Amino acid sequence: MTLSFLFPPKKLMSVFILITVLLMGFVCSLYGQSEFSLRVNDVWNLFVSYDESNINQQIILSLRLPRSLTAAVIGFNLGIAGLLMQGLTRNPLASPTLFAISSGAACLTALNSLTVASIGGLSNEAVAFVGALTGGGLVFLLGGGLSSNQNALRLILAGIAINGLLTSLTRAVLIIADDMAYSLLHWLSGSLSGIDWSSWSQLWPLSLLGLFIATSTCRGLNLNALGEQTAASLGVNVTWLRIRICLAVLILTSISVTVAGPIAFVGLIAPHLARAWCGSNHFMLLPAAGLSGAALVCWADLVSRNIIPPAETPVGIITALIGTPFFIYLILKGKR
Amino acid sequence: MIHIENLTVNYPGKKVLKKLNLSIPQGKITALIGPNGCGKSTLLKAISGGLKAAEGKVSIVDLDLSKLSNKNRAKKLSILPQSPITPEGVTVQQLVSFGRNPYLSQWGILSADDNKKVLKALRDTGLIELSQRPVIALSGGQRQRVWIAMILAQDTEYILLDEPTTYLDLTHQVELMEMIKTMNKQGKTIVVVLHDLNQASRYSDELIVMKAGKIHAQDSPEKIFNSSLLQDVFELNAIIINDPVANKPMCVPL
Repeated sequence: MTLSFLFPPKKLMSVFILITVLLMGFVCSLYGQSEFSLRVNDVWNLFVSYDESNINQQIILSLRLPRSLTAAVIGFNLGIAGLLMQGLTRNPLASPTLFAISSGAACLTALNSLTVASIGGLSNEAVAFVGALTGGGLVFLLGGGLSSNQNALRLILAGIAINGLLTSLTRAVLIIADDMAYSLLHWLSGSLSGIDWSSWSQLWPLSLLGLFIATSTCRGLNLNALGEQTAASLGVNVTWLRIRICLAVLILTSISVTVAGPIAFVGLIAPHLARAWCGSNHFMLLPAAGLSGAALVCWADLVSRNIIPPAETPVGIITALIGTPFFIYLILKGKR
Repeated sequence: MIHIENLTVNYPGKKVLKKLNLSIPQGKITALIGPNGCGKSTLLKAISGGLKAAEGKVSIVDLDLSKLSNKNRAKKLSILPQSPITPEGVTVQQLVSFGRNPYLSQWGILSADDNKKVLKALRDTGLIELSQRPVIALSGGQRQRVWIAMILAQDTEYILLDEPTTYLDLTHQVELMEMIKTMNKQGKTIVVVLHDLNQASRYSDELIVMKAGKIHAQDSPEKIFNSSLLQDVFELNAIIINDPVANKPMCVPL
């Protein structure tokens, strides 16, 4: 007997190609652009014949590997967060950056780094989560977000307004911060330069939790594409679906911002790449958007180290450079 | 039998339905008619649970619908909204199988029985040849058939349709109404909002006439479809003649 699914998995080939692109970027970023002239052989040897005394292998293991893994997972998280938001609002411009979720998390984290005693004794992750919730919540409230007659333009305008507000607040924090302004500014543009294994261990558990929740919303998202009322009439518990989506988006975005700052536009671009490759089934779109986001950040990180070596350009600037024209393209496309 | 008691529905700042009481008969085609903005679609949405009632209740026989989960309600009652959103990239067969959603377990695996019902719905609506085409590429008439097929696959006792013929040419309107008649003959109770008064009279067993959020009249078309009703409700001067084909009353505006 053959199993027949409500949403049959297809286009595995596209996902395979995405994984290849990601792996290439991943491996290149492990050895590329280094003062120690690392080679691809060193990467190979690290996995095949690990040698504790080999300095090149040690550099890759302790500096490069955590950074590349973090880049990939953050890209994965942001890609999925963007996909969930676009699926929920049926708005192709929805993303953590545009709906002020990233800037909310960044603003509160920056504020938190200022004060000696952190806000309410919360951990960095929790502060970022609250910030993300505040930013996103404000946009949805202002934009008439989850009411049935939601207006795409109103949501975007609310996003721009709240983004502006939160960015100015963050700037104010920067001015007050003075002595640590440079490192804060670097982090605020989205940077992977300070990543080590401790950031990785901070990142993966919450990412896994977010991914788990996100996966549970795939079937609901497929039906949500017909409109909330039709989804409800087909038996979807729309409120519960929304809660899970919001929770997943907030977790995935806030943990990514905590680790590497707000890396712009990945959440906007990745879902569109995924849709171009893999159609409209969220069971396929979820891994595809994640892989696209991961590949995007890996490659952007590689580029960021190559622009003015040995100095590092924050990776968020690279993604913004790719993202802004893409955003304009989406707006122009929507006009027609 | 759908019972509606004291049903009041508000939109922000406006009462759309005011303490409605009515019963919709079992196994018949009931047409809802009334001027624009009288609350027909609102009533349909309130019955389906898509809109929350401020007051009152809707029940099927003795079962209070507001107490059911969406999933259990979706096994009792299906609704085709006025302009459903057609998602990109979804094929006819996929969209029709969405109708089986309330019956599936967490992973969305269709059983042999589910597949059989999807296939039957496709066959009954003449969509077998189109089943692998994307819905978005179809004409308006074909698309409407796909939605009807989805409702058929949902296989509920009660079916609500909100102006299913509005955007169709006359040939496809007739085709759709005949399809609805067949569904009714197979035992489904159908409630349909219609704009075309003659269509409503021709195809319905029972007419519910609404005006300004209230029920103005309810009975068979033969009994209530007359020129004074059209004058009172639609402010339309018309004479009533006998439809020579369906043997039902038919209006001709003056």
